[in-house]
Amino acid sequence: MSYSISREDVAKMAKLAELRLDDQELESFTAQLVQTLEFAEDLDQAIVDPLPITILPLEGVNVMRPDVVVQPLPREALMAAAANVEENQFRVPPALGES
Amino acid sequence: MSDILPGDWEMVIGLEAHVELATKTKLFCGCPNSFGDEPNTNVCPGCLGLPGGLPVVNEAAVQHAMRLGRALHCQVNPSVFARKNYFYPDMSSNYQTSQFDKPTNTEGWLELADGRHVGIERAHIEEDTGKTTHVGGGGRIHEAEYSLVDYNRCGVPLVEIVGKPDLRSAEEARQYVVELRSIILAVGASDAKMEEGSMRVDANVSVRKPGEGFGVRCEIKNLNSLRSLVRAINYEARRQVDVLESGGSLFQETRHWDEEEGRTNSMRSKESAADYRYFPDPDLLPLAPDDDEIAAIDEAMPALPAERREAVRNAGASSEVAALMTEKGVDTLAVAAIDQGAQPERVFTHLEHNVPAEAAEKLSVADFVELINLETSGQLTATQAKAVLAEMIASGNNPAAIAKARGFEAMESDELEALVDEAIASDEAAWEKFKGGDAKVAGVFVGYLMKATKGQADGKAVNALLRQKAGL
Amino acid sequence: MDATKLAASVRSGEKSAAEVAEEALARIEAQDSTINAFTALNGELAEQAQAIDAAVAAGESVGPLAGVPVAVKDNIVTKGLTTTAASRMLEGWIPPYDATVITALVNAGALVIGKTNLDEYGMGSSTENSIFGPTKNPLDPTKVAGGSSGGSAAAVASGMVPLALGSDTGGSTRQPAAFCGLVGVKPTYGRVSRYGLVALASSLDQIGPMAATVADAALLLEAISGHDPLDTTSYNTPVPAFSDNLDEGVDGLRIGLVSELMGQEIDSEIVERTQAAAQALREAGAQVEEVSIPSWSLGVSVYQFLMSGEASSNLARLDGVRYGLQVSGATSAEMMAASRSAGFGNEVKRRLLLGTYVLSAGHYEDYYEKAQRARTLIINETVDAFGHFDLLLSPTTTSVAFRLGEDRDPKERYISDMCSVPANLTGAPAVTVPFGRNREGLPIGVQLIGNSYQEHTMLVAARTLEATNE
Repeated sequence: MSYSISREDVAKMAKLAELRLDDQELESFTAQLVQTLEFAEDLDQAIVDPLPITILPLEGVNVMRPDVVVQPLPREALMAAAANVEENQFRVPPALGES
Repeated sequence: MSDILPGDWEMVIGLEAHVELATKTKLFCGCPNSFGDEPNTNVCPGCLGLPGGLPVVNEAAVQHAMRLGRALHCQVNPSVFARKNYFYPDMSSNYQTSQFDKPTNTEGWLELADGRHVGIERAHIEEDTGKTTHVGGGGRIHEAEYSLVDYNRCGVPLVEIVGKPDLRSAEEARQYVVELRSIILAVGASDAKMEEGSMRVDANVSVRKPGEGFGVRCEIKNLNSLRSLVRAINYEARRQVDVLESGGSLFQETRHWDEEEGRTNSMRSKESAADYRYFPDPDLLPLAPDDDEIAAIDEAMPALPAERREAVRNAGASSEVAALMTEKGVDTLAVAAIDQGAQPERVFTHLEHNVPAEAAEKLSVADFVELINLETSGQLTATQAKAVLAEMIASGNNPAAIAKARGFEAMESDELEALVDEAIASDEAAWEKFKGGDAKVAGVFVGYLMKATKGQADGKAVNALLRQKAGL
Repeated sequence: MDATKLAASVRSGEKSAAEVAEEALARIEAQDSTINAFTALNGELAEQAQAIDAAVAAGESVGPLAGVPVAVKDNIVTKGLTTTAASRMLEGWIPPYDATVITALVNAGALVIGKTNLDEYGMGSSTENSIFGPTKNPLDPTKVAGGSSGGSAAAVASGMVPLALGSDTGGSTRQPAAFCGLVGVKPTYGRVSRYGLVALASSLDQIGPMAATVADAALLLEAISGHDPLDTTSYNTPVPAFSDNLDEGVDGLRIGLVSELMGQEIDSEIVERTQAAAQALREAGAQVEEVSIPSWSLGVSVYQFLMSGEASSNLARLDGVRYGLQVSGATSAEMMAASRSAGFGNEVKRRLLLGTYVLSAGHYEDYYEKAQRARTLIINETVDAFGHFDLLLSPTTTSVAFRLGEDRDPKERYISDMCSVPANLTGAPAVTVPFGRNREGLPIGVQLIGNSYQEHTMLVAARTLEATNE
């Protein structure tokens, strides 16, 4: 097993990340990522099982807040930076697919 | 075997329910959790996905989720929030914070009204998305000119309940949803209204022949009522059988139920399997419920529908009657009355037919018991008892007082016998026929009695006296 | 210009905040066209300064940073003042709210004088990946100021302002501080609120102070530290008085010189200066010996995967829908892709692609999750080391400030964060303190790493080193 990435993978990742790449960029990014992954060989070789994962360098559980309303900022302030607003909603081109 | 499907085809259904929790604020911020407000008035840098926003989990949401989990007999686990990554305008950060491999609740079950158990795989906590409205093109996504997004709902706390594929008919699926809803209401987790969207149900449907493993399943969305749920499941199962029987093959997909056309349609959403790249959310710390907390939840658990049905069955009801009593909400009254000696059959009959659900609260157990006893001891006829009950509900007075006021007092047996003798004497010809075995002619004498007593005579007692005197 | 003294003179009325503000703006006017440290200046500075003077006149308390101009890295959200993260995507974006650290600064009486240049979203080590162009190193304008907090470093090192805030994910406060001859601190993870910091890697990011002296850095650190209920990862622990007793000395402290960070990857002059620092600490009464923490050699690779994975998710919100650059498309998906492609620079795209990959189906266990396990290893070995030592010592960087536009060797570039990432991975606090120059006269910084929440001990040792150069 050795860390690497194919051109196809890069194209797939671009789609997942909502990025458009032309052929030249695809070529160039693939080369750079292949190189970066080669450099990460030390991690590839490292034996780290069966250590548990670390999500945060912080101890603690159950950090929560009470169910109390905090007054929202005024709508105009929050929507002021939007490129396209209609009827107090954010307007976008047709959003195909359902979430 | 099913009536809907030809041959020996069997349908297999598993339901996923998303339930909006009844908290005051959203899951990860202090914005109001409120339905129907002006668009984008319940948003903040956090739930709007502004750079620099951070989540902090709502303790009431966690409480609700644990309580709901225990009501579904789940194991409550330490849990970790995970990000589900995908792009869509109604998700302000383009990831949904949910739970993945370490959910709050796992491995539970619920009991249908008919007593069958349905497995619950998990019930986890996640945030809701905003609302996208498609404008132009008749509201259909693919002809829309543009879309508008309102983030008021984005971040509202949800519990997603994943049922195991244990259901075998649309009717069972309907029962499952009804039962699930009454459990949710019992623990106060949500108002769970399908029509309003505070409970959303998706159905996973597949078909198979007996003895086979699970077939390819399709997920059906856009089920806004129980009726749609039943129609859609039946349609989809039949569609799948038709495809397979004509030699075609099915593939796993999400389909949209079209209520008007009465069919499911393939959703032309993004290609193939989405890669959500789940990973533990590094803006949040894990949740670790402790045993004391869970014990407290169990202690404070209200009586759930299954328990209530059992109590009614134990008081002498059949499963159907027990289910009916419980669904109507008159079960507590029934059980209490029977506990105090009231005759079960009369209790159940009156509660089923003569007591509206809302009225049950107003009836005192003692009064209800008294009424039943008056009837079973013969002092009131069935008709009279019904009338007294109606007045008890309307006025709140006790049965004895009402009966007296309406002159429903029991007739002395001498009085009754004297009237019966009078009736016999009034029509000797009819009496000869009756003595000869003509039962129909008894109506003459009963009619006489009713006229003489203005309808107060107890028909049964009269008939008994007639037979006695005739030596029958 | 000493922030501590400046604040004292404003509080006493000796100097007016208005004057301080004016003078700072004049210096910025004179120098910044060359240095290019600032991306925006606070248009309400004069009024805010006046308010402080009015409070002083009224005998009200104005706070420990009274009237002190502070420059803020442009990835920290400021209400009413542009926050761009040096990205086309957020060009001209005016936030509707303040980061918690900004509120803290204002409460401490500070003047937020402006926003400083950075590598886009913190992705870079030279402040060259910016829509505003590169920031120059004030000590040598042919060299980079470092990154990603290069603008903040340059603003202080040039004398334009006495204090600045940077952010540090893999060394982004410490490296520019070292390149520019400053003190820079990455606090313990959780010490300073991240609410309002444009997130790069949530489990690694910390905002921290940059200043010319340890005392000034401690003063700023104290002002911005503290539990924030808006940040789940903010640790609920009292803030010690960091600026007190900085001269208490290092007598009896056990200090470990990390051998993995003293090898041939590091510039030999820097190794030499670090040895000299070790000696200076010994002479001041500390016990300094070598310590080996083998897993620290994995640090850079672990960092690459964790940082890029988290960043790929954190930057997903930048899609043109609610704010930022919106480029039209036939569908919302096309619009998002067009906006992001136009809005992000190449370095950002590269890291997003890498990050998406390490999280992707079929790769997650071998890449991201493996890095999370390796992180546990690094933490465990570090905890062991702190069982024997009070502090760890190392170089801050592998090289001194390099040339602007330099095409660095890819491998060298890859390992250049090796000294700084262990503190981010473990959450430990770390400080860089200037300790000499190389033969070209470029500053060299040495790094002290403390145990969790023990910033004061670390700052004391830093002060000791600083004092030996006075």
